[in-house]
Amino acid sequence: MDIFSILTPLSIVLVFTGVFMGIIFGAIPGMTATMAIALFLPLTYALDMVEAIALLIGLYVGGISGGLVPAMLLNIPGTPSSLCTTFDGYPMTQKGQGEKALKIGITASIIGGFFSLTILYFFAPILASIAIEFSSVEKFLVILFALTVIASISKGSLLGGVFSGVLGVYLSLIGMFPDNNTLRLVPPVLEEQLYYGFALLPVLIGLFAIAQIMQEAEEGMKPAAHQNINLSKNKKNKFSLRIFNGQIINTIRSSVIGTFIGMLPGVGGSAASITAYSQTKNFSKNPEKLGTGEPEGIISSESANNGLIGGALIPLLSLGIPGDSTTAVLIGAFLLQGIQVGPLFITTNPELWSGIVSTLIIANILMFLLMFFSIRYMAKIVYIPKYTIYPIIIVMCVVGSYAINNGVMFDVWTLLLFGALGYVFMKIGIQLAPFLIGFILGKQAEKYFIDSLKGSDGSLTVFFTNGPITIILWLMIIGSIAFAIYDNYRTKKTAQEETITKVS
Amino acid sequence: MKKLFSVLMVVMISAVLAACGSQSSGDGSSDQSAKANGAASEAKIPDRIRVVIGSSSTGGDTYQNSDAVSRYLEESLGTNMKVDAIGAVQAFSELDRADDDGNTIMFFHDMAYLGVEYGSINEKNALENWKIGPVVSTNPGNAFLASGDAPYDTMAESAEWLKNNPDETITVAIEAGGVSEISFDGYFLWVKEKYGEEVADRIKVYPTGSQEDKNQALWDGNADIINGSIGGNNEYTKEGVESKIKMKFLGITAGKRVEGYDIPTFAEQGIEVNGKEFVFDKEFFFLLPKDIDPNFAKALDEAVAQVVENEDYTSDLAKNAYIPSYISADEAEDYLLEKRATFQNIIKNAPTVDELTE
Amino acid sequence: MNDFLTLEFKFSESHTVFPKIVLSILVMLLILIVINQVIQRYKDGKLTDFNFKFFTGNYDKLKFYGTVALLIGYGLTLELLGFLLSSILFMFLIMLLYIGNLKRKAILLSLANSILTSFIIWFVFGQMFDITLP
Repeated sequence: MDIFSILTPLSIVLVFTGVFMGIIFGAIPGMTATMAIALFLPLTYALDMVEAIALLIGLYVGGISGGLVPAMLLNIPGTPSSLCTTFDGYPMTQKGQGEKALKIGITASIIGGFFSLTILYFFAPILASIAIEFSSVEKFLVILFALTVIASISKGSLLGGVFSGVLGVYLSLIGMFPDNNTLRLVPPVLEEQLYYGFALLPVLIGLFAIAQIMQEAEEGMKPAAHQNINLSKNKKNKFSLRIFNGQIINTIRSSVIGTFIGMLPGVGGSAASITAYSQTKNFSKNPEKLGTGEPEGIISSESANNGLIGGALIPLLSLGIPGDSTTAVLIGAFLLQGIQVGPLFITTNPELWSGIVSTLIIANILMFLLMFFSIRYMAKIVYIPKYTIYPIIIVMCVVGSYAINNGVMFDVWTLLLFGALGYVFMKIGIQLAPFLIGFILGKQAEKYFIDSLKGSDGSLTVFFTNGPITIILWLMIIGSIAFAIYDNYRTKKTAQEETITKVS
Repeated sequence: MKKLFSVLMVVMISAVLAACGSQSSGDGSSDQSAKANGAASEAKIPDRIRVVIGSSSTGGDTYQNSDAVSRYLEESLGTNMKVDAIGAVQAFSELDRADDDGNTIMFFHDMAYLGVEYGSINEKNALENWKIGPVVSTNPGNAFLASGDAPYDTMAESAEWLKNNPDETITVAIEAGGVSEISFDGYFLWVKEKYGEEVADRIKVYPTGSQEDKNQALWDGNADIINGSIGGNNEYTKEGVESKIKMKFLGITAGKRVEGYDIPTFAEQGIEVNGKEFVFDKEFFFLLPKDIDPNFAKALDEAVAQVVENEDYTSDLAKNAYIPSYISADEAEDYLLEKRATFQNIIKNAPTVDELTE
Repeated sequence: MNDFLTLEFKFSESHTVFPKIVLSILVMLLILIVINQVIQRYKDGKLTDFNFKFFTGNYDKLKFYGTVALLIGYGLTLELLGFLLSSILFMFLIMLLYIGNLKRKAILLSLANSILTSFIIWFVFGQMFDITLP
């Protein structure tokens, strides 16, 4: 294939380095793909454009994929977009199937990656012009659609789950509203620290890592059951591609959702795996099993996650608009080289374009190989005694929180505060996952809500009358909510019936 | 397979080591130049200087300008500089807590004082409370754009068009509280002066955030004119862009035209406020802690003076249409205070965004 | 009807619009939850039956409060002592706490882990990648 001809040996070494470092950054709780790219950005100055892109794309692919390791093995999402991977990944680890879970995850990742890459290569310009048809009204509805996942992942009480989600939305609004630079919901003493609100990453790892450690401390740091399971010789715990039989539709649907959400400028990457997960649950044959360690859930979250990469590159390369925060940093790399990304980028830089595509192919393959052959060693992380691994995790979380906004001490306090909050939440029945999803999507929901109203002079009817896309989105939202309520009702009923049969 | 993996590992590790090796040898040579430099100016330069910038984006012009200048300053100061994009509020607070030896300094642009005037930055961060360092470079690209098929080609024509079409309005997308708003204020006050209240009243504002938001506002039809920049928007104005997203420049606020671009300045179009040409150059400068070691401040100033003479630096900036524009630290203070006074006056006379969105 | 479907706000007030909406939803949900609970409890006939316990029975007081204290202490010392020193100290103490005894092996293990981990993080991230550490 001649699209590979532009790659020099050096650029292949750089993709490899990028993927390798990316996986490490993704796998460390508190460090993200975005951070890795921002860190390596100044280094790219010394490289030529294709080499620079090779390194950065390697970091991007590696960083997004690496997040699944701590999500599955330690129940700590390494990056916000691997949040949904914890839902089924960690329960599988608890059953002693950590290695299998990881292999399912990376297989789904590479499928999602190649799927979105194909879409990027063949349909980028057409899709980009569809993406800009999505005005703030449609974007608000897309976020609302993503938020419906709160209803479907609520455990036990549906009302409680929704309450947790809305609480998350509320807390995400703390700080300055970017439109008019005015603070709200901030106590006067903390005005400076909370100017930009609570940073997402420290909140995320605080709620998951620190809260969990506190809970285990309360229970006396006893080794967990799955730490004693002997290395899985059990056939059931072996990975085979057969797991993907019957999951083809799920994989494709999740990759499509990932690619599509990644494509929408300004709708964050985490929304991709969240939406994919909720739709998998809605369409699943046995939705009640999701969340208890089903490969189905991992496949959906991870294929959407990597589908996002190709998706986010679509508006970037065919319009010059970054699809998510990571691609926004990539624009910086182009500019450092003096290359303007815009609507004519692909036609005026055909060499660079094929360089990007071939780099993506190689990066995905390298990611798969690197992960696949190191998984056996990674999976052993779960056997490290808690008294050794937890202190390491805490220090990593602290470093990551401090570094995420390039050195802000308040982010460390955010980490600890939300660790304590998460601990209290678990005790009083506020559900962490819905809370976090609300927190992740809250600010965007507000932005597009207000933007829509600014455009319509305050008329709320704009959310229904803005063309056919809005109608479709509403149908999807209503369908998703109805399904969640029905599912919740059904689970409750079966539970009741079970108790009745037991009594009689 | 295991063998292959270990081979790859070795490649990786050696690559890292090689990178470190070359880096440390580089450090060694710069150590010597540091000594040479130190002897000359008798300043003690910290081993690592943290440059905090007033933007949290690594894709914006603040980052690019700070990155370029610190890359060259590193050499002439013989130290290691790290640009941290932490955003205005955090950057000011870091600067406030910084030691006086220069290990933390700030790099920002006119937003530093415009933000204070518009109330988006706390008053305690006013220019008076810092030691103002040298002005380093200019981004002359601050511009206004309209959709490619708009019935006017310049800002001046847009006002004329508004006068001739009494039923029409023009909505301008800006980001409140900074460079974008001051440029709009200049245009608005001129229209009001020249064409009267009636025409000016038909100019509305669509306040929004990033450049992407402003572009989207134009495409959605929520705005007719948007604030933008040559660097950020030029790609959309080129021949061959789909008409749906095609844009055209209506003018730049800089004092001089930008080489290679056929875009008239506000001044050329006759846009005046209070009888004076409206000119706004977006300039980048250093801010230092108030009680900074004077030797360090002097060394930094001298080093910047050296860097702006460097042709490599100039061509680095030219990639994105930025230009070096050195004003020594001594003069920069008066210069910026005077610049601020001019715009204070404009801000005082301009309507608030509340009035413009009604 | 049209009035009901219009939400007018001034630009300078736009930051309060969405929080107000979210807060009202939050309060409504809370009321619903309370009503629901009361009905449920009334049905089950244990309206006044409160046996909510925050901590699990027989919880490990030393490890729990120790963790909390050490975390806060770590945060406080970070900027005072710098990353390397405070991390070594923190890791050493919390590991001893979790191992739960003061035998020679425990001390050696904690010492090795804390010094090694902190140093590697400091070197790789602080020096090689030039990340700003506390």
